[in-house]
Amino acid sequence: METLNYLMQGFEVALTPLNLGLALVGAFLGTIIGALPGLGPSNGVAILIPLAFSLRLPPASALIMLTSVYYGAMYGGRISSILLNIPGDEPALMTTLDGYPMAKQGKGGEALAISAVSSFVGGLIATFGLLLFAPLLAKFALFFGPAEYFVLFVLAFTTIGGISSKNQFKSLLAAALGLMISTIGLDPATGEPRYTLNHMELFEGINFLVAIVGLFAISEILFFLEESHAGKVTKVTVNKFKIKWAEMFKLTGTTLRSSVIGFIAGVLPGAGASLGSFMAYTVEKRLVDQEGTFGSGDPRGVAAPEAGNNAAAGGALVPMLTLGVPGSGTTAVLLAMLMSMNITPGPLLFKNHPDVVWGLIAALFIGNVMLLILNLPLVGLFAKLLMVPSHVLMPIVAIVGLIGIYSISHSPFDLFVMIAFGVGGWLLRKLEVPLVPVILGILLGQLMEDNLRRALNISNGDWSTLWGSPLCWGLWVMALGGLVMPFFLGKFFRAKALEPEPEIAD
Amino acid sequence: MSDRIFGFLMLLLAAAYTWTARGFDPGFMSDPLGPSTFPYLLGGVMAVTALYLLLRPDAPAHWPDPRHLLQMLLVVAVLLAYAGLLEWLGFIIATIVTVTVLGWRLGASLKIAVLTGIGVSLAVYGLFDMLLELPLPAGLLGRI
Repeated sequence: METLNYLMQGFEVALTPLNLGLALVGAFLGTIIGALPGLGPSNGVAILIPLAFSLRLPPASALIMLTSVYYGAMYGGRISSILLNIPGDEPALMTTLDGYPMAKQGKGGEALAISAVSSFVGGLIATFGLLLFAPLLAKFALFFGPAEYFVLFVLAFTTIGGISSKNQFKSLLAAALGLMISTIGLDPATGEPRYTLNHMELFEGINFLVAIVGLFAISEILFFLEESHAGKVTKVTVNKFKIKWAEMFKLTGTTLRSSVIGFIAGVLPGAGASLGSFMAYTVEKRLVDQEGTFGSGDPRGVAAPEAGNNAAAGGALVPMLTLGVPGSGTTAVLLAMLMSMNITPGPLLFKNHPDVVWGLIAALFIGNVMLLILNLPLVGLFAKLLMVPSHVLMPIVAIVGLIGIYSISHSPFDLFVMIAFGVGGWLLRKLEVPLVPVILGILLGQLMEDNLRRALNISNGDWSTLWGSPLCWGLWVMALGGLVMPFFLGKFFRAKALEPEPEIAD
Repeated sequence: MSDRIFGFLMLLLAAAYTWTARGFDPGFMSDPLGPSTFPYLLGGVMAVTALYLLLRPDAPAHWPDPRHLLQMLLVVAVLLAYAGLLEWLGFIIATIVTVTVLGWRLGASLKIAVLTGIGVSLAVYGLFDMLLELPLPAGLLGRI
């Protein structure tokens, strides 16, 4: 009952004309960003954070707009995987398996409609899940002391690579690199400058927005330059179609099952949307594919991964909001967004900023409905965006990224740092070192050190406090499990997932 | 090979990072952690993982050929120049030049690249400076 009251308050926040408008703009922009080649949910949200920051939107409004962008980008990303067989991000990979064959049979429009409806159901169920489980987990998380938090951060870093991680050592190295970057600046406890090379500009540390936009946007441009699809423009058309609700109805079982699987995968640390769509597809194939039509354009093969991956995206918000520990690239970017507004997610978020949390949850409901309404009639228009040539798109990405950062601090120094991060990010991606742990390290470094410091203060410098409680023990076991599991399971998952391209977005 | 070189460089970084941490002044407050301990931990993690890469590298990475590499250097140089000259040149001029070079290197003909540059520059200026009221530097044009 309490929850229902809060939710009503949330809707009051989300249903103001300004916030509704922002949700619509966000959903529209997000779909465009997702549909454009080379831009995924993480890049899209990353580029827009500095703007939301400089426009001085109130936190709830900014959050509503950017989550609409996030959801919209997930919708838009399906267009290229279905029509062109090019997955915009890793979770979209499973959608290409049946989506592209459908498009080849002249049923691309139907495939897109199925994907929109099942995404909607997946997102809706996940939002209900978030509504039920997030407050519970937040209450539980109140038992966490500094020691538990420190171990929780360790857990986040050992699992961020995901179960399908290629090389755990590279994920860990990336995390260490990010944490090292976070130690640049004045030490908050002693005021001692660390790694500043006596540059005044570095005393405040590296702004994580500068790092994120550099890592995502600038490195993406360098990637495009290298591949150099000079002047190649793909013709894309969507066939005229009418939604046959009777056929949609046949997909109900698949969609519901996949949504539940996806949500669970999303909540688990280190699993995320990739695993959500993968598990949903595999389970559904086992259960209902008697004739062996999966992989050759079966509508159920489109519905399952789509519902799974949108539900996982919602599920991933549970640990992010309640514990402050994101499990994927996009939730890491959403965390960055919250932190840029001086809101630290965690159990206290539900107490201190109920308007933000419940406004966000209400916005997820509204955004989902808006996206469905936008996407069914306008999908042909969005598909046309696939034809935007990269020599127009990439310069725009560069300029918007640079100007967004410039408008925060009006300092050319930040722009230099951002470009340096872009080049570094390109190098790391070339070496198949994942960027998400770097970002997570930059975001969480100070909190991690702070919690370690407080834990040691409480125990008078006795390090055994880090494994002093059963909760700590449990977290250590999970952290170790997350570190070791990919060595055994990784081969199995990768063989099934057809070796996805190295992608920064999750 | 790339992984080995990268591992070696990261090992050097870990060493330099840890070495630097030695000199941090713990101050007079009683803080059981101090400013150096956390960096020591990080240096340790990085040293171990870098050593692993050095000894057991993955399959070699594919690096672009010299022609592409040169292009990328050019683009990075243009971006750096943009960052440095944005305030002096002003947003509109700097953006026209940068977008033109970027678009040209991304495969557009020079004419289309110039048109894209002008279009993007004016559109972004209109959107940011006028519609969203985020002031952009006027630079040279402002001084005329």
